[in-house]
Amino acid sequence: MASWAASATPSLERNRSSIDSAKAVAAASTFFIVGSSRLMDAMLRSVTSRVNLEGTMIEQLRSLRFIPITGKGGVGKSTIAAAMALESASKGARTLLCEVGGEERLGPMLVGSPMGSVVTSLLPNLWGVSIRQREALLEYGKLTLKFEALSRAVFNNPLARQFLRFVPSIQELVLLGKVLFHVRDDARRFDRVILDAPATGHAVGFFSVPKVLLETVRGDAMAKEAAWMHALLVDERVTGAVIVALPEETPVNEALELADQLQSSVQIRPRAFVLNRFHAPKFSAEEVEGVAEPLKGLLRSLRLRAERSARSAIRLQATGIPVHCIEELEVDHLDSRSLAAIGSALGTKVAPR
Amino acid sequence: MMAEEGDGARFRGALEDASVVVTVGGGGVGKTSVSAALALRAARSGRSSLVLTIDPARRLADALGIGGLGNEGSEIPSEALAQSGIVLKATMRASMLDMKRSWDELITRHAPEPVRERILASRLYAALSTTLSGSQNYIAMERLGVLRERRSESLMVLDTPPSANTKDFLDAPDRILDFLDSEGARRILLPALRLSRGSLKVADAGSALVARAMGRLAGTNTLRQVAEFLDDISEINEGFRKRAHATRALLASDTTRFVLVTDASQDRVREALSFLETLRERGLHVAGIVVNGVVELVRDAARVQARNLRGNFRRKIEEAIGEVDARAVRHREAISRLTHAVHDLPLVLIPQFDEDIHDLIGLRDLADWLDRGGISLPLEAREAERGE
Repeated sequence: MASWAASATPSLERNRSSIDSAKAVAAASTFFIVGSSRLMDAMLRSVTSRVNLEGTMIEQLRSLRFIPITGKGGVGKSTIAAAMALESASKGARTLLCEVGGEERLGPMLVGSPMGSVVTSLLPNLWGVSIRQREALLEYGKLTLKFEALSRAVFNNPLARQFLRFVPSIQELVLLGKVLFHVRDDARRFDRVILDAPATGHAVGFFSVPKVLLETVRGDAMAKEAAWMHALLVDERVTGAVIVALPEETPVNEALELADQLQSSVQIRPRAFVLNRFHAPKFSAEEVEGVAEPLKGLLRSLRLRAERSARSAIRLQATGIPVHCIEELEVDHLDSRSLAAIGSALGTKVAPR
Repeated sequence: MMAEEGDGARFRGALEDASVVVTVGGGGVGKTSVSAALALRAARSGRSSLVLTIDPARRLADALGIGGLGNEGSEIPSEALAQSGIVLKATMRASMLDMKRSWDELITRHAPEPVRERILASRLYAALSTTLSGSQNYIAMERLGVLRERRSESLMVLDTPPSANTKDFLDAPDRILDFLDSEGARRILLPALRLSRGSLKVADAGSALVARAMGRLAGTNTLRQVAEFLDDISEINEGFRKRAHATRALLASDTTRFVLVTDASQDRVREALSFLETLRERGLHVAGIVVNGVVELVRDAARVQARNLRGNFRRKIEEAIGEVDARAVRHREAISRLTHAVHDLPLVLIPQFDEDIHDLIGLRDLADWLDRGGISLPLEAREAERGE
């Protein structure tokens, strides 16, 4: 398996010049017939030129204590979250992997069984929890009302529960609160929390809940909770988002929008893009032209795919945020071994093919 | 290689008398392009059609002429069709769901004047109409119902919002109704909330306690807003109930067909099978399964060509062939699993395209494949399953 770190230089200056040249190449390439131009070759090279990086992606993000993994549905968020968690744990950090909102995907992938709603040890240095609405609400009730009996009286009352569903943001607040509790935790039970976050659209709404509450309902119990959560989210020493995309038009558009919204409306800093199912360039335009059909058709289609991947990487790179490209794994289903391989390949350089 | 008569003909047959087609499947499997292609092939064969898309890729939306505002949709211009070599015997219309506008229209239609203004201005309504999970599913169905009433196209295709499972989509009307129907909660909590803190004791003790506790949890002001909103919304509950009932009836109608869309990966196929189970449990009519992006084995002629090359280039090509073959084999396994589980439904296998479908030519090609019943793989399992 191979992985390319497309743009991961920490120096802003170097970043900018490489984005500019990549943009120039991308712009120029539209004037030529895609698929046969030398400029396209140059573009492909520029995207995949390997930067000498320090360690894997998780090592580059090692100072962060909270890493939400976000992106459009179906792009491989859960896979990347699990892979990063394994890599984080293998580098010695006590890591908690969280998922929210019902359906369990991570546990079955990693250990073959659901994680459940109580923090469970999965593998050495790795814990997991699946946070559910009802339990989160009950816990919030206990904390706020101080009396478990009273809290139960409220939450076991179906009418009250129904009523509470209408309270804007309370559902999101309690879920986020349960996740961030482990980030804030003074006892430092975990060094790092990785969250398989809701899909795009939901993600921005989800993370902006504390901010919105702070602005609208000052003084309430909910606002008090919102204050500490918001402080953790906007602290870029603590929180940094990873956005997963596929090398296709819509997912890239959504990833760019998401990066922009996280930064501007929630003030969470996106720290990396992961371009999943990336196709590496294998054949130059000359090589494609040099063979006859039907082989030519095969090489052309591989090349078109690589070009699409390259264009996607360039569009993401233009933000100045590092882009980590990862090829599709040739395995039937993901397990802890294949996920660990993805985790350790994310962000590393590879031997030339 | 075309599919044996079976799948293509059966798929066509199952769609022939459909007046509504609903495409379902996970995110990113190509539901939108399949929806548009199904509408295109209907119009090509002389049935006027309308496709209601949820979140099309920008270029595809532009190609369909729905880049801008499009709640009512617009007809695909004939020049654009001609340029792409498409001849339609009936009109094809495409539209894109505008969630906020659809909700506003719904409220405007059902709520009387002073209440309407209060609902539209409420911040609770803003959350309901934009971010509440399930509300997109609900409004998409509701929109389909509105279009069926207002327009006369002989086929309407509904692309569905990506959701983790089909249940979420199908249950959306019930969940919204359940959500809005808080008669009981209002009856018990509203008086308690309206009373000032000091006189809470005059209300029934149990509900006063609960109301007070909830005030501590969510803030008294917020709770009061909720109570007022529920009060307003209850005015239109009856209208909502009728609509939801009609929508459910439309989905279960004899002339409504579901088309399940998936890709050929193991995970997606597993997901598709669980979607299918849900559709069947509800007794809904499934026309067939479209499998997108199927990779085929490299042709032997290309292998022979590679063998005649030399050195590094040959090695590189053989490696690439190996990778394509490996994927093709995995796709076959996934498809045979699908065939094994579903032998009474047509399965239409669409080959992987070099580019995303982003224009009318791409849609035309996809419509051609759908017409032909897709490619056929020499799957032994498939033959065996279907043999009897």
